[in-house]
Amino acid sequence: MVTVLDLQCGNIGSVVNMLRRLDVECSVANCSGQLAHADRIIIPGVGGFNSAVLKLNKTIDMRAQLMELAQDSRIPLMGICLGMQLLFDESEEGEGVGLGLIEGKVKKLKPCGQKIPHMGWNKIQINKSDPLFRGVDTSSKFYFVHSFAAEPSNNTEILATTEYGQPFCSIVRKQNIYGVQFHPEKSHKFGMQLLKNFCEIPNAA
Amino acid sequence: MLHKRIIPVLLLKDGSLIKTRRFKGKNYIGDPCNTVKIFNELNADELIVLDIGKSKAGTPPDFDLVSSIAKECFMPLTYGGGITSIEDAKKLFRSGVEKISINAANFTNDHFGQILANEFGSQALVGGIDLKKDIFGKTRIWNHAQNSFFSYEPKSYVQKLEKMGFGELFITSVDNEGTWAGAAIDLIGPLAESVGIPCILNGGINDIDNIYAALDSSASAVGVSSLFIYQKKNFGVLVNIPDEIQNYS
Repeated sequence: MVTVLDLQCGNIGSVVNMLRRLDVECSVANCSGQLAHADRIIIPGVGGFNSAVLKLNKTIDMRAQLMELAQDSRIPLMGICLGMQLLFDESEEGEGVGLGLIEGKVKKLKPCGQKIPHMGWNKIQINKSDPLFRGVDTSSKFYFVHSFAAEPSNNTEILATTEYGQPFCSIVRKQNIYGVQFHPEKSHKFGMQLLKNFCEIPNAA
Repeated sequence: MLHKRIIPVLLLKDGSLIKTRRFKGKNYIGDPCNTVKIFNELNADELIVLDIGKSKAGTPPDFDLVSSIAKECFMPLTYGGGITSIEDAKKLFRSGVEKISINAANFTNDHFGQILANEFGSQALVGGIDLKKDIFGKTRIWNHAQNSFFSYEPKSYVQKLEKMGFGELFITSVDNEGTWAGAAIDLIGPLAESVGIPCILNGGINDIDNIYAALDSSASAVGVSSLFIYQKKNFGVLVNIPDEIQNYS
């Protein structure tokens, strides 16, 4: 059972639609009570960093519950796009405090002669092998829409990078916690495979 | 390296898929959900769905229809038509839409774009702009909901939308739309160069070479309608993306 976190500003519909297509059981949680029995979490993301942090803080126990599930119970967790950025300590997009599950900062993409936001299909350079990459390779294309990108403090946590004027971290992993900057739920068969892989990662709990 | 996008553009009217010519008439194309399914199988880069009667009639989006389209759409989906409130936007995003396109509402509410950008982020916001030549041959901003020209000069208007927080612009040449006359590259190219955000050039695409020519311009993406939904000019409906385009990138 995958629990999709609803921060009221995300495109939860797309994620739920794809999980259903994959025949994965899922539920949507918008309060900590609904999160309590989660054994796998996806934090989708569309929206501003601040409005997501605000929602996170406003919902009673949501932040604490997430931290407990991710750090103590070590259930597989995946942040998508803004959801990935929320995993980090802070963002240049706003004052809000991120979850801090992965050390690092979210920074505005530098233009480097390119248009911002980075919007469209792009490829990934895989840094190290991971169960997430079963059936995924460097010819797979993923859909990106973002103006900010995470910079993990620890380089070894970068699973994959993507080139847009300069390379940025497109997939991060710290133990049971994954973050992907692109939208697997909108990346056709490539994204479908990646989400399927995530749903099949064994739960340590 | 980012691939420039080729985006099928689908028009809705009263729950059906239709196609117009210079924003007029309406040719019945078929059932929207089935058509989206086909584009899904064809691995289209993205999809833009515009409900063209909504702003003119002053009615809200058909949320149920958009939701059933989104269920079939495993590629990025932009919806436009009749969006006038944060609540409208929220409902659309919840149903599985990635981006919303705001066109008519920008003429009556100067702050709407900014409010939406603060709430949902620029990347989820597309500014729709229609260009049309007036009787003196001057290109101006067309307000389709009011059937009239808008006072802003096109270049300052696109820059204004960028400042308001739109993350992308969808620029249509009304005079080319549905005509198979080729894209208005000369018209839209200079506008795309005057902003830092991606611009989608739409209207008039007539063959594959024309798509490549449009993508060679400063546009970041090209909208394609007739070429993907008709067999050829003046022929019947045949929803398809040529193999060459499917393998592009």
